Amino acid sequence: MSEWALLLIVALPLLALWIRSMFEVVRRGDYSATQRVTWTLILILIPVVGLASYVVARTSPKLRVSGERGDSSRAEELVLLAERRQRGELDDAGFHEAVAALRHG
Amino acid sequence: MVRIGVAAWNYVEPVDSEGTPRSSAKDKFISRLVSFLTRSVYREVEVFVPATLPRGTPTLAVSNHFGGFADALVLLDVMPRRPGIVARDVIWRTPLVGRLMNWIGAIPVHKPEDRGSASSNDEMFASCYQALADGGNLLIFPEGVTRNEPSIAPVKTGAARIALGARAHGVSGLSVVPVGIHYEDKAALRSRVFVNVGSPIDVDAAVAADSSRGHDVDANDRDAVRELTEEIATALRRVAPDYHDWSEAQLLTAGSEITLRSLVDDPAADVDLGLRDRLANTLADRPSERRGNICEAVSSYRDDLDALGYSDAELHSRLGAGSFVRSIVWQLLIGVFLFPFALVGAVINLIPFLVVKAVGALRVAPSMLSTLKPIAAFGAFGLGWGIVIWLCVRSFGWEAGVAAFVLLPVYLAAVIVLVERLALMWRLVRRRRATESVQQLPARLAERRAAVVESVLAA
Repeated sequence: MSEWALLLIVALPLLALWIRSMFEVVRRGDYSATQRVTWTLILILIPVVGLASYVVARTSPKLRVSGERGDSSRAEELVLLAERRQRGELDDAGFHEAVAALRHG
Repeated sequence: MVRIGVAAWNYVEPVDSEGTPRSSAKDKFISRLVSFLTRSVYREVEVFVPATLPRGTPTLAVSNHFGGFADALVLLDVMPRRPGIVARDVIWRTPLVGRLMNWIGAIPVHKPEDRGSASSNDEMFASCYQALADGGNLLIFPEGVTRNEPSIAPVKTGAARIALGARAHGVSGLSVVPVGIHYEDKAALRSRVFVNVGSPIDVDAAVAADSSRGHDVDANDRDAVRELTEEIATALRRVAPDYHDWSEAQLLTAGSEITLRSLVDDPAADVDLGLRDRLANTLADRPSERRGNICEAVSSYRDDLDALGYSDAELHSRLGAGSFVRSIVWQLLIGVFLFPFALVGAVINLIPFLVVKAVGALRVAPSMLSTLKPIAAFGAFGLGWGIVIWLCVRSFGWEAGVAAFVLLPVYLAAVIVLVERLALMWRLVRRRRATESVQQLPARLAERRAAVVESVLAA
């Protein structure tokens, strides 16, 4: 019983993390071919410690960064319009005209 | 003992011939640690970056200071290169914190009202110029104090003096980047935070715009410093929360959220914290009469909602019985799978969690809390996990210690995800109840909601 519990609590997440890391290493665009091969070998050949070193060494994933994109939603567009007016790039009349177009367009 | 200028020279990230920063093992470790901490403390970290943000040139980031230590933590996480943080030298007096500040390469600044510290800031200025000359980043909170009001305090001249002084010392292409940090709830765990990066101020252009002064403007040129400080203050007010009082802040934010929700196709969707606060920020700049209209419309709509007992989002999510059951079953399945790991995580993390909760119950200002809480979390969880790893090594050998090191964050994540699934299920139940009990939106409610949207769009 306790062996099963140990297997579930310890081995399963380790295995899941290992598989996830393997997939990540193989697909990483920012690693060179040599780096990818090296990390794959480390992950396969050195159990647990290899995984721990990869977890420490890998750089963190990208944050969700919003930017002034072309394909913005209507909500995003309203915010951009309001900000342009705030910066003085758009006058009140222009803003309200654009908002009307946004609502009914 | 106050240590001034220690380690102020080694925080600049080394840059290779192509200008891309080469990060050392220490840099990587700090960035891993910082991102682990922010992602544990906050449910979501959202960043808005304008397309005009310069890359590869020296930048001086100026930020609002609502959250004390949390501000620095969040910005360390989101800024692409780790900045040298300019901070009050009194912080260095706290024993462990002083070491931490040196380790991350913060630059101490002396303020005249703090007694017993250095008498001049020459060393601070020199460190800053050097950092910028090496193409580095600096981060300064130009209000000089943490703030508990939802507005920007008078901006001090320090940021402008550093920028102009650096330019006089031969730093070219310097830009001042205004940064606004928006907390959904700055004292809460697992809430959202939004970092709004504004359009950069080109320091060379700002100086050249006033051609009468020519090129020999430096940190002692009072007029130039005043003008740049004003420009920084305006930029900061645009990106950071700047309302007249808390009530106005709440009402304008609510009005902004309702308006944005009326524009998206899925009316039950969570409105991005970033969009909500950016729109609310522009509303805060409108004439007082129009702000008053919005506040009035939101207040009366909110009274109606309170009487009904549902929020705007709940009322507008038409959640059918079928998709309700499917969602609940799916959440339950995930919950059952996560449960054993979450249980282990709960046992391991209970004591550190209680420590952080106890710190959170202290009766201090919110900005002080958001300083104390991350530090307490760092200490309590670090110590707790250290003990677990040590116990594993002692009883099962060093391999077990390594495994524990890898798995501890996984167990904590399981607890967090499980608790958030439960919260999600509770929200689903409320949405379903709203859908069932309010078949047809009362006409008065719909009218009042439309009035909110109108008042925001007409402002």
